[in-house]
Amino acid sequence: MTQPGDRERDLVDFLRQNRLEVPQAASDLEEVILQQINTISTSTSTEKFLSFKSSKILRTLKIFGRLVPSLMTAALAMLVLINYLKYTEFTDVEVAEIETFIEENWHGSLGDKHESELSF
Amino acid sequence: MFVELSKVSDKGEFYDPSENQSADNYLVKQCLQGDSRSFRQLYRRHQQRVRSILYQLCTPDCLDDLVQEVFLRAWKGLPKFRQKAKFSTWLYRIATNVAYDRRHVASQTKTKLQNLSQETQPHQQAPDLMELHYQDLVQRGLANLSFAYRTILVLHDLEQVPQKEVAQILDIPLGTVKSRLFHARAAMRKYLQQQGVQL
Repeated sequence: MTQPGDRERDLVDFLRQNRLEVPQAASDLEEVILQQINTISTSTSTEKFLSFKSSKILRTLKIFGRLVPSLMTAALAMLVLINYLKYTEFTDVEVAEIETFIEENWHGSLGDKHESELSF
Repeated sequence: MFVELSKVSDKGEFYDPSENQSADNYLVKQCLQGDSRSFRQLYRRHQQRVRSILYQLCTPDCLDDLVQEVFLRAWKGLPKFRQKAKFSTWLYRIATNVAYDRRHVASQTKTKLQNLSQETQPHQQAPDLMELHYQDLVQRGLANLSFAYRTILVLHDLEQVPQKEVAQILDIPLGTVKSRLFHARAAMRKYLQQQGVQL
């Protein structure tokens, strides 16, 4: 504590000397307080248990809430993809046309390359 | 049994010995694990000073109730108590808050003189009239102060809590503590002089 000057010291001494004596506590005050604390402890542990349970349920629901739309989207995408592949299957005629086209282009490109090399 | 919390250092300052602080910290940890017996120890260590602070700040007729409220608030608040500050500092802050809350409720209480006659009788078999008069003056002087000044005067001058700790308890800067202390003493001196007390 900071030391007051003489004048301040006189005042502080006067206050200390003439302060009222603090009355004694009731004999059962300590027990009353401890009993109340034990009551609080019991009720709070019950509340904690309940809040823990409810928070667990909430957490599970949240996970489900996130998972369900994702799963539904994935399933829908799969369906669309399967359908797309199903209806975009090439027929034998189409395959033959494609093969012919590739062969022609292949030769064409080789021919072009050769010419370009000569002109260069 | 009340364990003395404060001792005087070489510089004349009061402080909590670190042993007490670490003992408090240990007891707090035990309490946080649900050990109410440790809280009993904390109660025994601090109740006397809490009583004293409350008594100087509030109307004395409900002192036990206020002490009870302080310790119940402390128990409920323990999980939020960060052990950066001393337990005692935190507890005295609760005590001043409780006193502040109760101050409004207690405004219609009996006069200080009536309280004096009721409260001092069990403790003093043959009270000196002059002594009673001075006690009454001090009580009236404290009652005349604003709560901010009264709290500073009670904590620092009567309960001998160091200024630094007062600042922590009231959550105000140290400079504000010094300033308020100066003004509180001046106001108290003025009141006492008006009542014929020469200091």
